[in-house]
Amino acid sequence: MVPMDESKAILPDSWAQMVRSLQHGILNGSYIRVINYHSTPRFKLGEYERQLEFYQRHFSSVSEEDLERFFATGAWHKDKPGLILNFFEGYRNTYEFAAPLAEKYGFIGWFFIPTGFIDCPVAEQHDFADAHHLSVLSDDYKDGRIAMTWDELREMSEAITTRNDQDRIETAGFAYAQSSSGAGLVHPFYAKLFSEGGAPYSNDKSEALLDGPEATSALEDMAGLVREGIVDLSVDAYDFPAGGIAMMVMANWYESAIAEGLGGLDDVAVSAIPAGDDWRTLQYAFFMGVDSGSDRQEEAWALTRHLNEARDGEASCVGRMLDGLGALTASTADTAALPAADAFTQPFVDALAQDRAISQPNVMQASEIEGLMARAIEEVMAGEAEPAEGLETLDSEIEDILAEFY
Amino acid sequence: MTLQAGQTARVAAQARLALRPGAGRRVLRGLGAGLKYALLGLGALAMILPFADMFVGALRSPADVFANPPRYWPRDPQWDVYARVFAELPMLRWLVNSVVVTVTITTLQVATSTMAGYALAKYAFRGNGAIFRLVMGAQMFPFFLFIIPIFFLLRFAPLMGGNDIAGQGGAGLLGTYAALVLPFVVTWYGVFLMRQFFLTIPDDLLDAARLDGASEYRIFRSIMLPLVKPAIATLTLFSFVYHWNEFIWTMTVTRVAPDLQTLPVGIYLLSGAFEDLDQKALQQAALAVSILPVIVVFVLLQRMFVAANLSSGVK
Amino acid sequence: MSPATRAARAPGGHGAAPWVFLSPLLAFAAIFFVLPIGFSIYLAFTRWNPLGTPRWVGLRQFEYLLTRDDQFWATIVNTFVFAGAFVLIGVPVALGLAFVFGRARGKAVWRSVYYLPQLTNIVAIAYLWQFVLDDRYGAINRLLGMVGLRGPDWLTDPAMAMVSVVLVMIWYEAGKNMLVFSAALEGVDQDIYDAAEIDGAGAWRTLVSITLSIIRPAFVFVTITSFITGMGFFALILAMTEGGPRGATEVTALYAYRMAFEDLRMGRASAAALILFALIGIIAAVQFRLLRERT
Repeated sequence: MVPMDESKAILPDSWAQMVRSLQHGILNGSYIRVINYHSTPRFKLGEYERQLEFYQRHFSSVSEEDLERFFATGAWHKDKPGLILNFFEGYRNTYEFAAPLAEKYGFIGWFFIPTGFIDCPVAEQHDFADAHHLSVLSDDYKDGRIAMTWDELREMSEAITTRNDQDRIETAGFAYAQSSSGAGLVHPFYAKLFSEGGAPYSNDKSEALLDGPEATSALEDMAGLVREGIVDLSVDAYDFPAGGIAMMVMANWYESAIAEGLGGLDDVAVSAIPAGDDWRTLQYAFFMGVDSGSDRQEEAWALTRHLNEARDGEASCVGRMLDGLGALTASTADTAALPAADAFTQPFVDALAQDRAISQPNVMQASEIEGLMARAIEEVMAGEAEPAEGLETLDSEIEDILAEFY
Repeated sequence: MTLQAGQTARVAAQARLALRPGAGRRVLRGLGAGLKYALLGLGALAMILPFADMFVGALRSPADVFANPPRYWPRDPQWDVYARVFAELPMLRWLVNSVVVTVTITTLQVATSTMAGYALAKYAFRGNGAIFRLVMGAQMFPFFLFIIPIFFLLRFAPLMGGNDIAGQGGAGLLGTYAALVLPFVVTWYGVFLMRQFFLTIPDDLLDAARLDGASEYRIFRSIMLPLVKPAIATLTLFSFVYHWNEFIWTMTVTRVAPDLQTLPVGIYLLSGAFEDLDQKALQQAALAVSILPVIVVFVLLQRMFVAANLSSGVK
Repeated sequence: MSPATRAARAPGGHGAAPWVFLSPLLAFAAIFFVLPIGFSIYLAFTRWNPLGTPRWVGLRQFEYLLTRDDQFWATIVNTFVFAGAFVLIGVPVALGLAFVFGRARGKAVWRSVYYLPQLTNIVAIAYLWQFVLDDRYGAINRLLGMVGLRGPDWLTDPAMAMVSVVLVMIWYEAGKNMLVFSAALEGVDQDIYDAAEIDGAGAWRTLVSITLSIIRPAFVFVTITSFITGMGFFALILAMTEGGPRGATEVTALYAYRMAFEDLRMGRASAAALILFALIGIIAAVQFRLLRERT
C-alpha cells in the first residue's frame, strides 16, 4: 500500500482517488469480497465443502438488496463481511452440486447463465464449450449434457419467489401478462402449440384442432406451472419493468418499456421459449388499411404510403416508431436503413431467420375466437377446468363460429 | 282508535313518560345518539375513503411505487403531478369537450322539458293523457336497449356526413358533437319534473294573461318560465351532473374520434397508457381533476340539487 | 263568448300551441325512441356485421343465445345476482341510513358527503376502487395486513369480484336512495309514532307496520328503480373488471355491448338486449304488482 503523501506525487489524480477510496474502504471494512466459480465437478466436492464451512464462519451472505443498500450507504450492515459466491456459465454441475451446497451453508449463490449455452442442443454442448473456451473439467455426465436445462433453471427460480406476510407473492419467479385481449396467455399457448407440432385450425379452416394431443399437452404445461406454484395468475407480467418478476414470455416490442422501467437492459437476458429442440414461436404483424367506403381514399392511401416509405436512406416514420419500441418492421428497406438488432432483439430476429416463427392464424372473427381461447386457457390455469375438457368445449365453440364462414 | 281517544291516550302516555326514572332514559338516549353518529360517521368514512386514497396516490413518486414493498404514503409528495396531468394528457381538450357537450345538452333539455311539461300541465287536448303515459313509460326503458340502434341511425342519417340520400357512403353524424348531443335532447324525467311544477301554478294566472291578450308563447316565456325557476335550476343541476359524467354512449361514439372525447371517456380510453406502475399516480391525478368541477358546483348549490331527487321519489 | 275565449278556441290560437310546445318531444320520440326500438327488433332477426348488409335469419339468434350459448345464461345468472344483491342489501342500507340521517344534526354536511359518489363519473369510481381493492397494495388489504389478516382477493377471485362490484354499486347509490327515503320519512307524523308507543308496539313492529306502510310509495320507487338499474347498468363493471375474472362479473348488458362493438355481431347483440329487456319488464311489472297490493 503506497502511503498517502507519496501517492500524490507518483500517481495521476484518478488513480489517487481510487487508491484513496480503497484505503478508506478497507479501513472501514466497507467492501464485499467476490469469489468466482466456474465448473464445479463432483470430484472436488470435498474441497468445496471445506471452503463453504470456512465462508460460513467468517462471512455473511449477500443478496441483491444487501448489495443495493451497500452501494447506497457505502457501509456494510451485517456483522461479518459480505461474500458473494458467483457461479458462471450455467454448468449442470453447478446446479447439481454447487447450489445445494451453498444452500446448506446459508449462502446466496449468484448464477450467471449464458442462455446460448443452455439453449444449445445436448449433442452440441461440448463443442459449444470448446468454442467459447469453457473448461468443463470433468466427465461427470455420460449423456453429454453439461449445461443446465430449463427445468433446472425453473427450480432455482422457484427459490426466487418470495411471499409477504399475507402469503401473497412479492417477487415472482415467472409470470404471464394480463391484457384485455388475452394475448398474454394465448400467444405463449400458440408458441407451445407450434413447438409441439400442432396447429390451431385445419388447412381450410373448417375445423378447429384444439382438442388434439398437441394442444392438450401445451395447455397442460401451462396449467402445470400454476399447479406447482411457479406461476400465480394474480401477478401480471406487465409489472416486469418494476423489477418484481424474474421471467416472462413476451414480445420484442416491450423492449423500450422494460428499458425504461429497469433503467437499462443490463439485467435482462432474452432467449427462445424453452420448448425442446424443435421449438417454434409466434409471429404476428399489423397492417394499415384504408376504408373502402371512405370518400377520401386517395388521400388516405397517399398518407399511408408516406408513413411507410423509407426515404433517402432513412427508415420510414412507421419504421422508426417501431424501432423505438423495440419492434421489428416487415419492410426490407426499413430494415436496411435501421441499425442492426441489439442483443435484446437478436433472438427474435434469429427465430424469424430460422423459420421458427409461425404466423398467427388469419381467420374470420379472429379476435372473438382468441377471446374465447384466453377465457378457456385462464379457466384451466385457474384450476376451474381440466385441460382436456376445457379444450373440447373451446374447440366446439370455435367450430360454431367457423361454421359461419368456412 | 278514534281521534279523541288518541288525543287522550297521548296525553296520558306523555305523563307516564315524564314520570319514568330519568337517568335510565337519558342513558338510552345517549347511547342512541352515539350509535346514530357512529353509524353515520362510519358510512361517511366509507364514502370518503376512496377519494382520499386517490389524492394520496396522485402524489406518489416512482420511487415510492418501485420500493420493495411499495410505500403507501408518498415520501416526497409530487405536487407537480397536477401540472403534468395538463401537460402530458389532452386534459384541456377533454375539459372543453365536457363543457361544450354538457352545457349544450343541459340547455336543450331545459328548453324541451319546460315546453313539453308546460303543454302537458296547462293544456287540455286530446292526446295529453297518451303523451303523458308515453313520457312515464319511456323512463322504464333501460338505456342499453338504445345504444346499438341509435348508433346506426346516426351513422346512416341521410345527407349527413358524406351520406347520400339513402344514408350510405359516409359516416353520417358519427364523429360530430351532434352525435353526442342529439340522443339526449329530451329527457323524460325532466318533462315529468316540469309538468309537476307547472301543475302547481294556478290556472287563474293563465286566464288572466290570456284575457290581457298575450299570445301563448308570450305567456310561456314571460310568465310561466320565471315562475318555475327553482325547478329549472334543479333540472339544470341534475342534467349537468348526469351528462358531465355520462360514459357509455360518449365512449361508444368517440372511441374513434379522439377530438370529441370528454373527461371520463378520455381517461378510460387512455387507461392502457397508465398500465405501467409509475403512471398510476398520473392516472389518479387525472381522475381527481375529472371529479373536481362537479364537486365544486355541487357544494355551492347543494340545496337545489337534493330537491330534484326528492320530488321524483316521494310521490 | 269573450274575445279571449274565442281566440283560444280558434285554430292556430291556443289550440295549436300545445302541439308546438310538444313538437321537439314528439320528434324526439319518433326518431330516438320508437325508431330505435323498431330497428332493434328488426336487427334481432338478422345477422349483421356492420361492414356488410343485414341478412335475415329469423329466430336463429334467439335460438343460439337460449340453447347453445352457455355464456349467455351465465351472464343472465350474473345479472340477477348483481341486481338482486344490490336491491336486497342496498335498499335496507339506504333505509337504515335515512333513519339515522333524519335524526342527526348537520344534515347539510352528511348530505354532501353521502352524495359524493353520485357526483363522480363512473370511470373514476371504477378506478378509485381498483386502487383501494388491489390484492396486495390496496388500502383495504394493507389495513387488514396490519392486523395480521390476509385480505381477500377482491378483484382477482371470481366469487369475490362479484361481491366487490355489488358493494361498490351499493356504495354508489346509497346516498341517492338515502335522500329519497329521508324525504319520505320526514313526511311521517310524529303523532303516529307516539300512538304506537302507547299501544305498546316495539321498535321492529313500528318499523314494519307503520313506517314502511307510510313510505310505501318511496319504497316501491326505490326498490323498482334499483332493480331496473341493477339489471341494466354495466358501465361500472366494464370499467372495473371488464366482466372478469373469467366472466365472473359479466352481466348480460355488458355481454350484449361487447358482442356488438367488439365482435361486431349486431343481430345477436340486439337479440340479447331484447331478451334482457323482456326479463326486466316482466319482473318489474310483477314487483310493482306485488309491492302495491299489500295495503
